[in-house]
Amino acid sequence: MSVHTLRIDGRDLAVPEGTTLLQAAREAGIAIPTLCHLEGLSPVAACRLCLVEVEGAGKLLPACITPASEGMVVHTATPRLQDIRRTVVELLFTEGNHVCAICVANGHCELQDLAVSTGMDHSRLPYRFPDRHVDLSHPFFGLDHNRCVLCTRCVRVCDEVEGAHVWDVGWRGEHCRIIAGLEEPWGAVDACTDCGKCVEVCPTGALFHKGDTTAEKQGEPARLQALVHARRHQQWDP
Amino acid sequence: MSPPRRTITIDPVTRIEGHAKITIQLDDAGAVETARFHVTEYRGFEKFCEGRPFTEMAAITARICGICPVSHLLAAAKTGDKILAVTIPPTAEKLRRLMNLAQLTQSHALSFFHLSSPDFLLGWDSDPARRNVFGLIAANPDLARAGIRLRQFGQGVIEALGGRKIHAAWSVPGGVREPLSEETRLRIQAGLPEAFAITERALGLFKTLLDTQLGEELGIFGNFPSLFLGLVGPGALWEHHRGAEAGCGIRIVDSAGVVVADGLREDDYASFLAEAVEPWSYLKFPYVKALGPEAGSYRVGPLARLNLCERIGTEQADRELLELRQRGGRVVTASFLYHLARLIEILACLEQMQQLLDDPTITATHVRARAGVNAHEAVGVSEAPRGTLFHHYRVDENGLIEAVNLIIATGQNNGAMNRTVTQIARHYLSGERLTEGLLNRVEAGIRCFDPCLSCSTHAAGQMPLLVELVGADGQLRDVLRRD
Amino acid sequence: MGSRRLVIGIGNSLRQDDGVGWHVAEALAARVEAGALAELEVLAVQQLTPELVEPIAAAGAVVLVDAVITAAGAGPAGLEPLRLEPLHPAGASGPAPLTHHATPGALLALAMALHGTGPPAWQLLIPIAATATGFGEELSPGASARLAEALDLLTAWARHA
Repeated sequence: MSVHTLRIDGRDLAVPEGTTLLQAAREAGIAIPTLCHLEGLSPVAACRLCLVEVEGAGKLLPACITPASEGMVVHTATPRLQDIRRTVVELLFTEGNHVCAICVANGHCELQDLAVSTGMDHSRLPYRFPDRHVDLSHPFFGLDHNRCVLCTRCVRVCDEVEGAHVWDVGWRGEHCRIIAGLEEPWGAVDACTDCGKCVEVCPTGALFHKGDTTAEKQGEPARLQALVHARRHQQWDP
Repeated sequence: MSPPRRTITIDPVTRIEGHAKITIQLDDAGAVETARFHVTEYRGFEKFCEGRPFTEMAAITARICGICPVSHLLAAAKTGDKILAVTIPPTAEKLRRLMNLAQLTQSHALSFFHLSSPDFLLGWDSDPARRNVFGLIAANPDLARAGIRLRQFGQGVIEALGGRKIHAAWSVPGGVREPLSEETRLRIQAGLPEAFAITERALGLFKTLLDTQLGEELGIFGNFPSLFLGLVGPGALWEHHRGAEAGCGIRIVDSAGVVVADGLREDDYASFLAEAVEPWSYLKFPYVKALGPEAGSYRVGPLARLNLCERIGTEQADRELLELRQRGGRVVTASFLYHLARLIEILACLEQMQQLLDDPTITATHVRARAGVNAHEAVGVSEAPRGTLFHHYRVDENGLIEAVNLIIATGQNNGAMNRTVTQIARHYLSGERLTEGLLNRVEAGIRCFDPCLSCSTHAAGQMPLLVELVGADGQLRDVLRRD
Repeated sequence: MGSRRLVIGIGNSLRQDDGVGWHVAEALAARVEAGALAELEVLAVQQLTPELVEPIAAAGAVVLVDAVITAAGAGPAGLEPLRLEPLHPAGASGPAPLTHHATPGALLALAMALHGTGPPAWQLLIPIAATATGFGEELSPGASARLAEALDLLTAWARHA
């Protein structure tokens, strides 16, 4: 296996071929914020939070899908990137209806954590207050579209890990939303195995256990990662 | 002839901070015809809730008031229990009762010690500038300090149960989120003796004042016949939490002591209560439907609860209840005795807290029932410090809120507050000038009911009070403002 | 009187800019929790109530952070600056209030009256517009800029022994 050497934030690193910039940075202890990315699921580069500057590239590149190559010079935390990341978080907040005080995920929310880490204490953009609904038709789980950031982790985990493919993304632009089955109430989709993996990987309070009240939901992405690891390596003992 | 029309413009600032206004209307002879207590209260919470899962209602409605979120929290959770159609674990029921007892204690302590006692301890003719809690401290520092300690005790219990951070959602549909630890049980118990001592001292002091100086107030400060409405428990014992079930429910008595209705179910509130709307107030005026807006006007709160019950069910409080009835009759009509009723209720709360904390099952850990949506409409009821609080939700088959109606205690006492202000104005107004003495007494009359005025925002300080004297011709004769 | 400094932030976080004082306290509390500010007690409250007298009396110095509605408010451009004012005991004259909450001055006066001594106190007022107090959790850009300033100011104050 060949090795590439590159420089990230002034540090010289050597990584095996096929390593993404995100993996390389994290292994070197350099933090790059992510939202749609989740170890164990395929990367989709949808949220644009992990954008980095690569010298000579001419455009910003998402670290989660950009492979490290020989001689790259990468910057992960320039003022320009910090401003872009903050703007991305502002867009996410203003595009939906995120009322933390009454949210099931309050205190355990990746979007909330991102707002803190990117220094987004208010939005410079106007709030859109879209009219969205809540789907409580499933016997165990609920989906609140107001809190959905369209990261598609649920779509991917259901397809790639559970193999049920209940979720998909429907419509376009501002009407874009997660749909169950063929745009049916979740509870009416026979394919759903009620496994709850989508709830565990959801970064916000969009997917939740019915009956959860304020601040009761804790995401459990580590369980998914353990499962994926066990399958991949056929190691079922912890 | 139709009454003269007035246009009231409420600018954003007054709408937000809220202000209270009293209009005293004179008749042709220059005597007081009516007095009205207006509250420019702005509520949007009912609309705000539509489309949300009913499980969020406790957290949403608890934000209506920063002083007493507990009352809405409990009413919302009880309404949620009924949507789940479950009987909650017995320990959860006891813990909710414990929290409501603490809530009644801290709220009554604020009303009696901090807001009202300066009025009657220092006297109407004392320097108005000193007739407040500071004058009270100068005159009786121990009492002032004790009031704060008692309130802190109640708040401490609420915080110990719900936690400072999560208490907005501690009580949930199906029960409560956290059981009571042995350590917390002991900590609450340790605070009880001081709370008892404070309450007993205040009772002794207030009864002495009633015997010696406050006779006139009993007659003038809202003393009139009316109905009283509230919860009673099994055997018609004093009740603060349990709604309609076997042997309990909502009771209505008249001032002669006749039980007009008993065992009413909160679920049927719309069949026995109606709400009149007046153009001059945002608050609605609930009344007993069968009797109409006048005869059906009723009072709720501490005095109503004591009038409704046969007994309280604990030794010390029952002794005080007997004394109250010797003083004011089987059904007490003098609104001024709401103050005494508050102190008696604090005593009842402390005794019942003691009983609950001595119960070995109070620290049991099964405190939450889980279920899906089993009913599409539900009404929950609880006795808030100021009176009976109704939450009414309609949900779709999955539990999303379709409609919400809240009937709050201050609204139900609205008619009684107006009658109180009218009675005081008739007695103390002379000529066409508003005096400080009149204003003091009008304020004290309103304080008997400890009304909860607009409080969903707080910025910009105090709520000013405006009193207007209006002649029979509709012309303003005098205005007094107090900031 | 102790040496511990106290910050009380006041506001309703569900009423937009009305909650700015509360937000300041929450953010400051997060800094304390992170270990950045050791000797600071922070309380975030929806309203001022009399039992706050106890922590006030026990503190070495106090700042109350609150929103204040002004004609211009924070404005879209955030033109009005923060107002840091010495807090004087007040409310000791005049009749008892009709409402259930107390003013900052009255709390300080109460602490002094009950405990014989009150700590040095200030109030940090954050100007907001009356129109920015609808339902919602978000702060206006102006209020938010003031929040950041308030946070820096209080952090510096807490660190300055």
